Amino acid sequence: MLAIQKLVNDSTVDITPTLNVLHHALDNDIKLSSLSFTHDAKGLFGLAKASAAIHKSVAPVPAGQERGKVTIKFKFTLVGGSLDLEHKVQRAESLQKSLQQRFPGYDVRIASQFGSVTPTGQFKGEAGATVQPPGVKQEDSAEFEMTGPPL
Amino acid sequence: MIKLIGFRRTVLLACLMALNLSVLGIYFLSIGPMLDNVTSQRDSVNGQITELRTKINGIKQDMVYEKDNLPKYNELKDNGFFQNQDRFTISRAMEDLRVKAGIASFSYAVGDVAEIPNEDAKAVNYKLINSRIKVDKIVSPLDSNIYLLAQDMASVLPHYVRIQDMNIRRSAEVNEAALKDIAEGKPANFVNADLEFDWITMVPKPDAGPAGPGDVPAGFRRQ
Repeated sequence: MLAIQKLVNDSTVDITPTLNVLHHALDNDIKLSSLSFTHDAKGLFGLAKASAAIHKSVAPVPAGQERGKVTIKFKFTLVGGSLDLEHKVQRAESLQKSLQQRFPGYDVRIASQFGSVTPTGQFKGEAGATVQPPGVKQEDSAEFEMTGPPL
Repeated sequence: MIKLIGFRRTVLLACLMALNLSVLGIYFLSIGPMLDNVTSQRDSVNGQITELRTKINGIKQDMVYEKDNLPKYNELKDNGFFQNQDRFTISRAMEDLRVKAGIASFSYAVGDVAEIPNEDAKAVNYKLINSRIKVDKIVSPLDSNIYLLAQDMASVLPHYVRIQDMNIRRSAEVNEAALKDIAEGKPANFVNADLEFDWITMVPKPDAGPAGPGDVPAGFRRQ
């Protein structure tokens, strides 16, 4: 029973440490418009018997996945001054580096960049005077996705 | 030979030889087998002693394990890990949670009780059960209240509550009109959020045989 309790306990995560690290990683010029936190631990129960995990008689769960996998997504805009697109893209890329340092073992990905610029540099644009349809506002935000073990 | 040593001495020698032969006979035919029997019995007893010693050591280890883990088991029991999941507990917990997190209101939905397949639980005739709890329509001025809600959920329900999913979206900007509404005491909501939790407990497997509709106590959900 205690083995099962350990398995259940290991499959639960406290979101506070993760959110604290994220909070400190985000500077004041970043304004979040959405934040999502997903913990995927459903595979843990089927991987191995908990008693085997406790007595370490077998390697039950792949290394780094003992407590499941966490996915954090957030969308943000930049505030405080009107930056051009180039600087916004640079700011997002510097944030990516900062997050990679603060979340070791995480895969930090820019899911959506400012101005719809892709990480490989691909983008679409129009030269000259263009007329934007009424009611359509170009989205000025970037979205990050981070996946890794719970902190 | 009789002429040399005499008849009487010859008879005496014959008697002594007969006595020796009878002693040898007694030894080989009676004492020898008895000794072999005793030796094998002694070996058998030694084997039993070794077996019992192993068992005693095993029991000692079990007692140490039990002594170490009994408080943990009792703690789990006190924390409700072996408790059934009933709707009244959830209702009370949600109200406690709302007050603790400082949220005006929210909606929640609880899914059917589902069994998590687990061989260890099956081996002790128990099963792991899970209820998915979805929380949405949160009326909260700040996202910090939502983080509090996510954090406190684990303490208001019996062990174990696992956060599965949390989505927070900014729904309105903080502007002059919003601040004026707050000053006038109107409910303010700048964020929308939905959260999903799993409530996991471990309960004894019911006895074989289908249960009728009347077998479920009031407030309890079929598990």
